Amino acid sequence: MVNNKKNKGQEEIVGFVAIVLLVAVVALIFLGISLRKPVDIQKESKDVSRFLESTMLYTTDCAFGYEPNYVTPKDLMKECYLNKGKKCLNDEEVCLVLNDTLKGILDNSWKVGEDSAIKGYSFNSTYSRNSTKGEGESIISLGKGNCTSSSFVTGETFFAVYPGTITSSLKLCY
Amino acid sequence: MINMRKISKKNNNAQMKIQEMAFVLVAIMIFFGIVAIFYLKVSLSNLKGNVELQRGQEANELVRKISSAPEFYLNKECDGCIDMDKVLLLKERKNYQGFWNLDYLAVEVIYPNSNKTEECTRSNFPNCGIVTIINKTGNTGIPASAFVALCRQEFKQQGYVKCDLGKIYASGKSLESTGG
Repeated sequence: MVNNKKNKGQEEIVGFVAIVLLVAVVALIFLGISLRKPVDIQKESKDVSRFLESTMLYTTDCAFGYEPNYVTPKDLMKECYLNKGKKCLNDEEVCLVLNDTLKGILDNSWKVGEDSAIKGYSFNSTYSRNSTKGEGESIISLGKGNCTSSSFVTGETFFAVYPGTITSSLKLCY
Repeated sequence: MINMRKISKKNNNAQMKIQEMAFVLVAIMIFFGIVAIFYLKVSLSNLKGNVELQRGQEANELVRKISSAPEFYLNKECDGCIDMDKVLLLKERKNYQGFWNLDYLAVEVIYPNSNKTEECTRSNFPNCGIVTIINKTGNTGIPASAFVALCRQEFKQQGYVKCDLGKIYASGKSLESTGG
């Protein structure tokens, strides 16, 4: 009689433990979903690429040879890479004009700051002889704010400079 | 008599056990139901966010397409360039107000722009910030936008084409279907 009762008690305990375990597992899944980190955005943005394309069409105050042969940031990048010390007709250094122009454009186009949605940006322009990404000589690098987060959008544009290409990329960090 | 009592007691116990089991099963089903609803809600909200993002991008693309209409575009060599001289003329033409089925269409100079917010007219151009081509309702909401190069003919020196950086904004029912 006592043995029978003991067996029944054990069965009850096993059942209870099984239910508790089941509920605990489901609760853990439940908690995992609710505490899940916001999904990181890491993708190419057409908007950023369009921005870069439009930036490359901007007419700078730098003229080569004669006025009004004012050049675009594209031409400045090319000259800054090929002839680093080259100057514009107004005696300003090509690389400096490129730096100031791009900085002005980036700061006016994207509101960057702690209170803003965009926490930082990073702009890079590189020359590479082959199409392999990540390799190449840096022409200009600009950055502002905090761009270490894993949520960002990128865009890039490129143009040919024989025998390679100049690739400009912009990363906006959220 | 004693046997009958024993059987009745056993029956009662069994009924209790069945009831307990039924309650536990119902409780587990409710619990799993709540979890499933929560999971579906989370995944659906992610899906909704993705759809909205996609629609926003499509609306921006549509705005970009508007900018390459013959009424705006500069020339074949410059894709994505807007002729600002054309835009100024377009602003004055009232018969274009219903042409694109938009409530709002404007072109803003982004760079170089030392915080100029003045509306552009023939007299103050290019020392101004924005050209509003269509503004039917006054309440534009968040318009779809796209970066463009704003080009104009400069008559200084021998004359040349000068391009600034700008944005084209549009909102209206024709864009709402794509989320703009």
